[in-house]
Order: sequence, then structure tokens, then C-alpha cells
Amino acid sequence: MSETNSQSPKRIIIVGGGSAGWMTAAALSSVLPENAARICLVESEQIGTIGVGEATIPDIINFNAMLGIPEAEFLKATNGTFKLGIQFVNWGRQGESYMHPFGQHGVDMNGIDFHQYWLKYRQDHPDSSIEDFSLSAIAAQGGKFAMPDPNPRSVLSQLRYAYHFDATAYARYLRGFAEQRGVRRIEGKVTHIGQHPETGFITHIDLESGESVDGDLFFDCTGFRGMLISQTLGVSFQDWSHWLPCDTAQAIACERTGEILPYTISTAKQAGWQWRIPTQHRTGNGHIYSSKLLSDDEAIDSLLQDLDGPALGSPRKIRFQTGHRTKLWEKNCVAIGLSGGFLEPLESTSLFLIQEGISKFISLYPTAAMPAVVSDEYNRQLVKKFEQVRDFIILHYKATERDDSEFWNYTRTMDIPDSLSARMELFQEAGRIFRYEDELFAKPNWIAVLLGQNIAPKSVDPIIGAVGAADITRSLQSMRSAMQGAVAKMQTHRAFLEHYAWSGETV
Amino acid sequence: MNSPSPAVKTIVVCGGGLAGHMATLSLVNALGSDHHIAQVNASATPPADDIYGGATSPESYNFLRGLGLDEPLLMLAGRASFSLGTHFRRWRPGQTWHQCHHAPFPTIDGTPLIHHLTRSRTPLSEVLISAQAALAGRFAHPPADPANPLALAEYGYQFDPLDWVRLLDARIETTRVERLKAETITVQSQVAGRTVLALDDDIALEADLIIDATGPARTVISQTGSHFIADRTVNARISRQAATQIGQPSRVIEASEEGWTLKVFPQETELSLAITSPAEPNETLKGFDVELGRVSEAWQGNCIAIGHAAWTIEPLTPAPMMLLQRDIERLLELIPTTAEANTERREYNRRFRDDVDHAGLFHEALLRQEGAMNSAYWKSAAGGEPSEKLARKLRQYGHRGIVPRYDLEPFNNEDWIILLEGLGKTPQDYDRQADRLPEAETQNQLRQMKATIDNLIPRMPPHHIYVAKLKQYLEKKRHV
Repeated sequence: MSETNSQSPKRIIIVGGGSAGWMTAAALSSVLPENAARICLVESEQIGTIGVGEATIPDIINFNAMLGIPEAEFLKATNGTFKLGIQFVNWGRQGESYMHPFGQHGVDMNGIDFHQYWLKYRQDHPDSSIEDFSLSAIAAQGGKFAMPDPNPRSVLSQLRYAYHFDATAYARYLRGFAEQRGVRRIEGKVTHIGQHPETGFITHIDLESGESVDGDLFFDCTGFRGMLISQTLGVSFQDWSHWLPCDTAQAIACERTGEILPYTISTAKQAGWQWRIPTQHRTGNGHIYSSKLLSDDEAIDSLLQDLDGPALGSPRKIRFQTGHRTKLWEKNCVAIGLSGGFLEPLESTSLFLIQEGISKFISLYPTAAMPAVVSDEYNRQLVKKFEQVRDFIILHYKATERDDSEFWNYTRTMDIPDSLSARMELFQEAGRIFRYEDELFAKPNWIAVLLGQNIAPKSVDPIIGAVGAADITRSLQSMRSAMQGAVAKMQTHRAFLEHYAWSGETV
Repeated sequence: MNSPSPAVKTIVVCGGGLAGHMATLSLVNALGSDHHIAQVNASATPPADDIYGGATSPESYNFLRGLGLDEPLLMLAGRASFSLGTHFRRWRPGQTWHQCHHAPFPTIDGTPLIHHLTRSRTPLSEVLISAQAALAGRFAHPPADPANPLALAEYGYQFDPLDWVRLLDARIETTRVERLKAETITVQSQVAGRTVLALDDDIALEADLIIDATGPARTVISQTGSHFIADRTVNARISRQAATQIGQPSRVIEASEEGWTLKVFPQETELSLAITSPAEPNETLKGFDVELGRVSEAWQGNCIAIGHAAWTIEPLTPAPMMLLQRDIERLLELIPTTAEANTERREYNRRFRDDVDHAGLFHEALLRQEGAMNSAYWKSAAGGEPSEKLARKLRQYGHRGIVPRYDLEPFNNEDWIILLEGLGKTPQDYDRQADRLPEAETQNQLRQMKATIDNLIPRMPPHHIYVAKLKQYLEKKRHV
């Protein structure tokens, strides 16, 4: 069947750099057989990229591993730190906070989910928090870090982590990686996009320099504009702003004061929320809000007020619309990153959605004819991913008792997707969680946020009724002390980083 | 949050047999003594139990253990044997394959096996240890050592439902379950989540939750307003023959003009099940007619239908036992905590529909084929509305060997690829990433896989000897 080789796309053009463009270039150049295709990336230094300290989820480790990137080298190059979870402040109620840690809480026993044991335990221990049984949460609160132990019998095997890093530096690092593997970078601004008169396929792009670049397959990594997928091919946008009303962000870095926290902080505010992402040399901050309910000046004041060190530079404004393209792959163009869709980074899924876009593309790799049978399946899978992540993010806005502003009154009372309301009701009855098969966020993620935002089950699951309360107390207390013991032996996050991957860069 | 006395205190299981007994035992094991559990008509095994097909899939292992049916018991007292899958013989002219159970296929150089097979035009069955072992009539337990190719084999059991019903019945006898008998069961009233059943028109039995396990009779669920959506009707004729030696480690299905015949090989017996078109009025040699399909709502009011009371599907695969297990697991996960139980009911019915429909896709792929035989059974089996979900799978597989997945399908990726290959479907193309490895090297690796398997098979014992030795060993261990 080797004659079909000649049918695979030979000239791949990635339009736009940034995380999306360079992640695509790095992945393709690493997995495609040598000489299978020529890959060009066109970007302009005049067009800025978005990204002020990026927080990720553990899947990023798989992406880097697929490329064979050494972890310490990558952390050094991007001023990266470790992330054990997200602390949510003022979300369920003002004055409250909870941790959404990576990894699971406790250990499931006799085929019954751990949280069911904990719900019963809490009846006699009302001050207990489910975080007390998450190794990642205990380590995060203590400012500690250690590598997970692959031995499943070790308590350290429960640890899960991701990274915080400078996304611009990550793109730069991946650029070096991709260029080494033969990706050609062309500097220049795109002035025109050429299409085939009959098929509408994209045939070439013209640059300001007068150069014209022909291609068989195009990746649109041009950000929110979607120069190819939207402006040229006219693919429509599925708008979700009625569920996720924030539409603007102001982002700024500040000097780091104090310890380097091994977690992200997300603080709910009057009309949105603010992130705080620690990298080795500084702290990234951003205020995401609804511009209908808060002016830019008010948003900036609020952002600057809540920095915990002197600001570095002035805030950068980013406008966005929440939702996704109805097709992320149309004709011979695949939209990766913001051009394909956007969900606010409340659960750090931006790079994950890029990664999914790339890996699903690789698993469905097309022939040059770009058969609709392939793009159709790609679109089905990607849209499903967006919808699943969407529901989880909406949960944070819906499950609140806040009534101190128009913003929270709206989100608290808004209609939500049926898929989400069914889940919330099921949990409210007896703490039951249903997970779809290939869903990104698993049971422990849903449990952390549901409980953290005070969605309390009305009763315990009847199947826990047969287990004695004393047995549960004994098991849980021994789990907790094993975790506390393990965390006590860990290094501090900073000491671990200094030893493992310190960049030495200062601001 | 508090835990007052549970909203559902009395649970009544109607019916015995595999469904009734498995549900009763699961409930009494899982729920504390503040739940009262009764079983009505435990001794009436529905004759339709035979169309559960006498085989389980590998996923049933932990479920059976949870019921106390661990492997030593099944071998020593349950007359079970091993099942590596189902052998389809002359399903269509030229279509003979072994629908085996298999762990996730290995990858070669990081790319799924299927693409390398397509590229080098190598038949899948040559590199499947469980298919080759079944063809040779041999069996051994998959070892824990992942370097041994046999570690990729997976197995379920072949069994005679009557044996397992007997084992389950004995276990229930040792529990607190109350057992009642009745000629007729009538729903007398249904108010606010509490139902009164009239047994034989004179005894009133109050229940907060009723499990209908009466098989195709659907005694209780049919009185609640849920209706049966019939797809078509078939006739099932069962026969049992004493066997002096255990047959092969897989079931055998063979097609004929009139329909198809299934043979199952547990210990000491050979079960034979013929599925044909429904009996004509004057035909006397036939078995019993069964309507295939499912109920509109498996959970209606406070009655939950499980097993054949909720759906009937032909035993072409272990799907009937897989679905029964899912019914019971779903029930345990969603035992209601309020009398209304609206949330649990909605979730239960959603997953019920998905599970039954997704199992149906696999059977639809087997039955809806070009060039089907022109007899009453086959015409009816290939009729009906084609499913878009199946069409998507066939399209994607035919194009490039991709099998799209839907939520929590009972059949896994390996099942589907083995099936589609067995049905003679070949991907037009393969994943380009397979090209990273030179073709000669791919062929070399595939040849090695085949050679290792060919070398191992003759060293595995024949199925009947393996079972006999295993029983000897288990007996000895029991008496130590």
C-alpha cells in the first residue's frame, strides 16, 4: 500500500506562532516520518502573542514526553514551577476558600468511592474537609513538593502535578525544538489568503514581503481572529457567553514576594475573577471580567490593588468571546488554539485543548484529498471535548451563594446545560458522580469543586450504610496520618526547584 | 446532612433465575440491615434464562466474585469451563473467525497494531493468542508476566444457567432475605413511591422499590405504564446433551438458512440453542418465541425491570450477561434515597438506554450485511432502521482503521476490530505514523509475534485436561 504515501499532504503551513503554532510545529516535526512533509511556520514579530504565566493540568506532561523533552531542561527554559492544584477563594461564599487538587482524595475501598466514606465520616466530624485526604492538597498547603512514586503501594503514588511557566518562553523553547527538526520559520505578515476557485481549499498565503507560500494543509494558529478558519472559510462560531459571561482580561506580571507557591490561586471578584500564577522569577496575574458590568478602569484598579508585589510594566488588555467554531477542521484547514475556540482559563485548560487538537489530528492524519470522513470525526471529538470542559467551568459560576453583585446574581440563577444540571442534582441527592467515558475531568475533580462550593449531598449513599462508623474513622485517620507523614518528609517547593531546575533569572 | 432511616426500606425482587438471584444477592450484600429485602417466586427460573447464552465476558470476573461466585467455586460446584470467546463458523460464505477476548492490542513503535497490519496486509487473527488458542482447543490462565504473550489473552466462563441458579439460590438461603411464593402478582396501588402488590389476590405486600426479574413475562413492569418496544420476534429451541469430555474453550455459532445455532461447552453438558424465525401456527417441533427489543423505561414509578424483563437480545455474544451485570451495577449505584427518586430514575433510564442501544450496535453489525440469505429469519434480522452510530463506525473503520467510541460502550475497541476484521472489512488506508518504521522491520516484528504464538500454543494443555487438573489442584487445596 506504499503508493498511498504519495497522497499524504507534502506542504504543511502553520500560520501564527505562539503556544498553539509552536506546539503544533514541534509535535508534527517530531512524529511525522522523516521527509514525509515540509513544515513551514509563518509568524510576525509585530503581532503579539497572548500569555502571562500559564497554568496547566497534568496532561501537559504527556505532551512533553511525546516530544521527548527533558523536564528539568524545560522548567529551566520557561522559569517553570510545579503546580499541585488550584486554590479557589470567595467562589462558593465570600470569605471561604477550597483547594481543587490534582489526583484523587483518599483510597476507594471495597468498590465504593472514597468520598462516600468521607461523607459518612463527616457526620461525626463536622470540621473535616475532604482536602485533608488529598496528598496533593496537603503538600500544596505546606508549600512542599516531591515527585510521585511509581510504586502504587507508596502513598506518594497519589501525587499528581502540572506546571506553571512562561508561555512565551515555552513557545520559544518549542521553536528551537521544531527548527532543529527541520521546521522552516518565515517572518512576515499575511496580506492575502488564496483559495481554489472551485473547491474553496486554501492554496497559498501571500506575505507583506511579496513572498507567496503554497501549501496542501494549513493550520490556523492566528488567535481569536481566525484569519483562515473564520475570515477566509467563514466557519461560524458557537457562542457560549450566556453561560460564561466574562469577555475581557487585564493581565500583568508582578515581582514575587514570599515563597513560590506550588499552586494557582483563583479569587472570585465583583464581576469575574483574578488569577495568580507563580513562576520562578515573578508572578503572573490577570483579572477576567464581564465588560458589561465592570469598566476597564475599575477592572485595572481592582487588579493592581490585589497584586502582592510591585507591578512589572502596565496591564495588557485581552478581549475574548467564549465558545468554539462549529467546525474546527474545514476543508484543508485546522484551527488550533484560540482560533478554534476559547474557554476562560479557570481550570487551566487552554494548553490542554491545544494539545487535544494536535493529538486528535495526528491520530486521524488525513491524505492530501482531506476527505470529509476524517474531518467529520475530528470535529465530533473536539466539540465533545469543548462541551465537557465547558460544563465543568460553568459549575464554578452556578454553584455559588454569592448575591453581592449583578454578576453573581446572574450566574447563580442562570439556566445551565441539561448535562450539568443532571449531574448537580445527582450529587445533591446522595453524593453520586457519573463520569462520561473519555471525559477530561474525573470524579475527584467534580467532587472537589462541588463540595468546595457547598453543594452538600442530602443523604449518604445507602450502600455505605452497611459499613461501621468506627471502621471508617479508623481507616480515614490512618490514611490522613500516612499522608501527613509523607508530606513532612518532602522538601519545600523552592528547595526542590533550586536543586532540580533553577533558571537563576531575575526580573 | 443527616442519615435518617432510609427512604427505601423494603425492596421486593420478583422472580428467580439468574437476574432475580443475582439482584437479590447483590442487594443483600450491599445494603445494611435497615433494608428489608424479600424475593417472590425465587424457585421459578424463567425458561428464557437459556438465552442469556451461557457465557460471560472478562468484565464479569469481579462482579461474580462479589456474589461469592469465585473461580474455585465455579469450577468445582458450578460446572463452568473457560471461554476465550465465540467461534463464528460460516457466518456468511467465507466468514469464519474467532470473536475472542483480548487485552488492549500492543502498539508497534507507538502506533496502534491495526495500522501495521493494514500496511503489511497481515491477518489480525494470526497475532491474537486467544484466537489461536481457542482454534487449537487449548487453554491456560493468562500469566501476570507481561512479557509472556499469553498475558494478552482474556477469558470469561461457559456455563449452564441452571447450575449457577442453583449456586446462587444456596447462597441466598444463608442470608436474611425473606422468600415468598405466589401464583399471580398484581400491582394493587402505587402512591407516592410506595407500591402495594397483591400476591395471589389475597396477600398484600408493601414495597418501596420493586425489582422486576420475571423475564419476558415482565409481570410487574408491564403493569406500570412502561411499554415494550419490540424489534422483531425469534424462536429459541434449547437442548442439553450429556458430554463425557469438555468441549472447546469457546462457544461456537454456525449460521444456516433458517437462522443460527449456538453451542456452549460447560462441564459434563453440551448446550445447544437454535435461533430461527417464529413458529408457524401448526409447527410443533419449535421451542418458544421471544420478542427482541427493550422496554421504553426500565425504571418506571418505583419498579425497576432488569435482565430479560427490561430487554431481550440474542446471545450472539456475551452481551446478555454483560447487560444483566450492568443492570445490577446501575441499580446498586442508584438505590434511591427519596421516595420520589426522580433524579436517580432519570439517570438510570438514560444509562439503560445507552447500554442496550450500544450493545445492539455490535449485533446490528453482525446481522445487517450485504448479501444476507433470503430466508424469513435473515430478512427480518437485516431489516429495520440502520443506526447512524454504527454507520459512523463502519465509515471510519473502512477509511482508516479508526473505531469511534461512544460513552461507556459494553464492547471495547478490540472487540470491534476483531469483529470488523471477521466480517471481512478492511481499512482502505492506515495511519502514516506507521511509516516511521521501515516496512521490512514491521513485517519482521509481526512475524516474530506470530512465531512466538505458534511456538506457545502446542505447549498449552487441551481445555478439558486443563480444567481437570485445575479441579484436582483446587480440591487438594480445599482439603489442606
